[in-house]
Amino acid sequence: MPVRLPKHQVQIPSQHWGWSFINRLSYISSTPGRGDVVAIRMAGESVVHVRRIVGLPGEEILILRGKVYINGQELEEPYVVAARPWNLSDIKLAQDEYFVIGDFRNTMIEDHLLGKVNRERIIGKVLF
Amino acid sequence: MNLQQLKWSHWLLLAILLALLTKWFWPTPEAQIRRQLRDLAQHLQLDGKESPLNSAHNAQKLGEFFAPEVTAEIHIKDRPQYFMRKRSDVVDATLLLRRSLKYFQVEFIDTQVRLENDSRAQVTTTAKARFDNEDRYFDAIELEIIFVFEEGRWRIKDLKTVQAIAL
Repeated sequence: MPVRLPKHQVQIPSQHWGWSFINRLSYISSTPGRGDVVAIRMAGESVVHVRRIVGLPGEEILILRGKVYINGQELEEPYVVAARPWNLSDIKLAQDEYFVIGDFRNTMIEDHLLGKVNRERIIGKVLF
Repeated sequence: MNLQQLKWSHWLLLAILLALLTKWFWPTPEAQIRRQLRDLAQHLQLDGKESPLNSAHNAQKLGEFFAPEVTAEIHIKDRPQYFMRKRSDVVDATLLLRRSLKYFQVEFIDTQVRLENDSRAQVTTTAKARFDNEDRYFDAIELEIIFVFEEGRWRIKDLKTVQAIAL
């Protein structure tokens, strides 16, 4: 499924302003995984957010000086671009929730759209 | 085609025509709400600076889309939060928006209407907006709206933004 990304919505370095493609079949036989770049629907599928999954259902997320910790273990994130020293206290994910962040983390945490997202809102994996 | 078949085809055409006319003159509540949203988007549109008088007139017209006791909570990241508790608050906020922008266009997409009863409906939609101050840019927010049938038409009673990604 093709989607159009506005310039300020581009949060993943491999993406460009313009068109991107989503594989809607990617999670038919599997569940979203850590590191996947996914499309998150709004009221429908015409406009989507694109973010990377860092936390899986049931996990605890903590961000300390820009590093993401999952259940107390630091997460290796080679894809991150210019991380600022964000801090976010422990967040426990429910069984149908994922934690998503963009790769461009050079803004204040308040200016970045990150957080929990419900499984039913994830419509597929972003191809490019 | 014999005479009998010809008569039947006339009756069929007449029935289709009547159905279309009924739909046109007496739209279903869902169709009325969708039309309200389309009209609202049209009234919100702004292309070029308006005179203060026009801004006030247009904001007043826009107020008619809302119930007198409307509650609205607009929360968009990086922007000031708006809490409105009555129709006049909506008119004031609209006026402020119209005075501060040169270009504004909104479109309601992916709209789903769920009728709760004859006079109340829940609507979810994505409002896709284009603004212009210095640069023209695009943004989208998800909205949950409660429409009520009041004073002879469907009006917005509650409006709030929904966060797909939230802490």
